[in-house]
Amino acid sequence: MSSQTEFDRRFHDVLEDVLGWDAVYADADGPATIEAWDSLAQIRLVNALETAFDVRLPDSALLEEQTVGSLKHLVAERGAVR
Amino acid sequence: MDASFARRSPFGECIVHGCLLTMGMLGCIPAEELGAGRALRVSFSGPLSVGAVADASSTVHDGSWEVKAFGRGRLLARLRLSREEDESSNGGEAPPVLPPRPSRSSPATDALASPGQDDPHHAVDYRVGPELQALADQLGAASLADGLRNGLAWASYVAGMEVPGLHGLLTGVKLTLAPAARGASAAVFALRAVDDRTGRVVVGSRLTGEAVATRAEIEAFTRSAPRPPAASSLQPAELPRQDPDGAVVVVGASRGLGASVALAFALRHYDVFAVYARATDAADEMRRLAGDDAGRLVLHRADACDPSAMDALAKLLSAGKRPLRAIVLAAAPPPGSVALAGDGAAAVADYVTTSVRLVATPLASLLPVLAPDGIVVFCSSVALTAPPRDWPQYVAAKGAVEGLAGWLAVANPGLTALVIRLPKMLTDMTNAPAGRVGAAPVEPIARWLAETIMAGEVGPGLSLLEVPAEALTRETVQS
Repeated sequence: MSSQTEFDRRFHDVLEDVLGWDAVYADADGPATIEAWDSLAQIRLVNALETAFDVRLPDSALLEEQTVGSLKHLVAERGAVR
Repeated sequence: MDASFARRSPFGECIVHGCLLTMGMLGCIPAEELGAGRALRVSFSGPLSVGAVADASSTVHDGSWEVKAFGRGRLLARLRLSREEDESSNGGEAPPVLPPRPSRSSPATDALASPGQDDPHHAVDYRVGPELQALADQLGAASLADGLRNGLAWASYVAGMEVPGLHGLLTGVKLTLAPAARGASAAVFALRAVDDRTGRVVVGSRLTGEAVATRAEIEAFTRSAPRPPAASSLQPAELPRQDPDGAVVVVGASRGLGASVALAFALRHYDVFAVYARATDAADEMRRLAGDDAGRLVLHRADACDPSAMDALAKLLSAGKRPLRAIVLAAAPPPGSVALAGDGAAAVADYVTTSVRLVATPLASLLPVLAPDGIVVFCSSVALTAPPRDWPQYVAAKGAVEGLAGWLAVANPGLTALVIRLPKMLTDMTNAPAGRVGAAPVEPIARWLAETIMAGEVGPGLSLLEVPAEALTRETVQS
């Protein structure tokens, strides 16, 4: 499995765990498009991504509104292989 | 179910245990399907108040059942029950364990230490009573596999009594069934991760029965214990040469900003009437914190929504020696989380009504006894300029409060109607995972507010202030 595919799979697993199963998550998706994505869910997402990819994201990830795409970028930026 | 404990939580009221809600949601799944389940995942998004109704819906996909529970217009919890079983063996060496200790009879309140790689598992002499099956029967989950039913109760025990304990918030549980390993301890758990920014903890655990073991991964958030104001952070740099000739009323004075403002004024030698509804212990603590100035603090227990109680307060004030110089309207209901959908609209309206009542009722009774050049402080929020997505009710309520302030300035032009748009603060109301991130300590803000009022720099009419940055960065010293 390519590293990109593995990254996407692990990323999607975290999204499913926190936001809901059997959904398709596009990079533009965020609190405005996903009902379950509230402030608590964002914190859980950030923490779960940090655990899954063994990275530490900046506090802005917790405080500022994010999207699937922006979180992917943050995770990859911190050394998680895409 | 401790109402006074619940009032000091961000929810402000008793809520249903997450695993109990889960059991009720599982009752939506047909019995034969329920019995076939071997893995359960549940995620909690919001609290269900005791006595409130939740609507549940269930769907099936590839043999897995998903149930969602809704209340106040939003998703409260969802679960997935699936048939896959964890086939991996627990064979090989068992992880190191401590000698089992008795299960707790009261919840842990200690702060967590960071997990180390060699942290041992904790073994607990945990037993499941027959009442659990009876409860499952009552909730329609009678046919749920023993391992999953017991695992839910075990997860509830670990999160509520062990880690994080009394001040925790359970947000997720994953249960899987596996063959029981020979010689394994019956009930063990270990802390796997802690995030010091958010308080999130992940606990790995195992509950071993005769033939089946249940692996439970528990996600929860720690919260700090409610604490009284840090009085030493409220002290004035220097006292005025003469004591101020005046009294102040603070409505909502048992905790949060109201408590700190009441103390700040007492420490500056005002007579302070600190109005609170129920939290007698917290109010008594304020007297202790006021120290030598305790005699200036009048703890007045009254419901701010009760006109006759506020009229009685007004009579007390008019009989007092000092003129009433300021009214600080700091009482507000805990925000909770509401979506403007479904039955959420009624929750929004109810919240706005209560918020306005907590401002308008004291104002109606106390305005006649306020000095002609007095000041009324309306506690609003920066949420009005940057509305949080989860809080439509809170934003609407603060808008209404600011509207009342505008009216007051026109109807009583000699008075000062001071609207303070407060930042997110570390209070009982915000003592939740999302609330504490980026929240400012209360004491520097209370000190700034008291000193701003004392300085008399805000003239008659309507004024709107935000807390200046320098007031947000002063250190808070624990008392």
